[in-house]
Amino acid sequence: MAVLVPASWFALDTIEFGLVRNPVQTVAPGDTVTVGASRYGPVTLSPLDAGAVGAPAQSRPMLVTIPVITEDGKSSCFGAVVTESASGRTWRSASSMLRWEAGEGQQESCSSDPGAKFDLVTPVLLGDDAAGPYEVVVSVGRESDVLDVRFRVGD
Amino acid sequence: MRGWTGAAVAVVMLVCAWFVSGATPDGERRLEDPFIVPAAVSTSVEGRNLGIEVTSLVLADRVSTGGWWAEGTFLVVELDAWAVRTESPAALSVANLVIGDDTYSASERPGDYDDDASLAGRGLFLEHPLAGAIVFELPADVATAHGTLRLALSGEVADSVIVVPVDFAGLEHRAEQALPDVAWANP
Repeated sequence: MAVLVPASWFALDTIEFGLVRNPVQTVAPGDTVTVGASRYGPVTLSPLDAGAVGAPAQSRPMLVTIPVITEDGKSSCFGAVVTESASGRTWRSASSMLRWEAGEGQQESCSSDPGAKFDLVTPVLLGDDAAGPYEVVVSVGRESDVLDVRFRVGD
Repeated sequence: MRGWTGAAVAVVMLVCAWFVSGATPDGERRLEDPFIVPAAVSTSVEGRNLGIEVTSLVLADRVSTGGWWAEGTFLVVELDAWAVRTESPAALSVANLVIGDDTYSASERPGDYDDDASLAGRGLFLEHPLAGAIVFELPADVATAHGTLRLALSGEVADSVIVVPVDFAGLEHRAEQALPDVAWANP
């Protein structure tokens, strides 16, 4: 029992219905993280104009912004996923349904150009009762060598 | 004395296991059974992470969207769909119509022409329903049949499947049906 119970706990925490989780690195609020030759962070959430972007009623459109500096151009990443820590509710990019486009110096996925400096941006539709704190997860890396960077926001 | 106690516990455990085995007639296969969520037209239902309200069922001889059209026998299902717990992942990936022994998957043709013409495969949003349509291309003699619409996120294995009965004889039959664009149900 001393072995089985901790082993079961670990398995349940690590394996989610057959999905293999990537390694995770947690980043404190306001901090940055360096992965390979690229630096990510700090993360900010800022409100978008609900009327201007065509958000549905009772939603709170927010823009997740992660400054990225990549020195070698070997990193890749995709839009952020936002999780409300208390409720476990998870939001991902709503750009397909919004009148919104990334602006100058903003991208929805990582550039592969060496020396690139840009903001990785993701518009999300938080529930109007979402209060945070949040975790913003971005998967960075390539192929089998992917790291989930988990930024804590609003602690 | 300890030997007798151990033997008694073993017998009790064997009897319990026998009851559990008896209550699980198909053994481990039942572990993969879907969780059926019965639904009806104009009724909102929610499964584990999928919310659905079928708003209309129409038979049509021709469907169109933008400049694309097709003729045949079509079941056009208009519905609202949303995620319940998480948007990551949440997409209406399973949309099947079962008639007798035959299973028809939602047509990919409207969505191939115009992303906004079909909800099939679309990512869903937490608490904010998308309204749109899915289309089934069917045999011409389907008008006398009964069927079952089955909607799910990623498969029918150990997850919620929303099931809507379809009585084809009772459906409105139109010569042409324009497919609505995917939009917020509550803009």
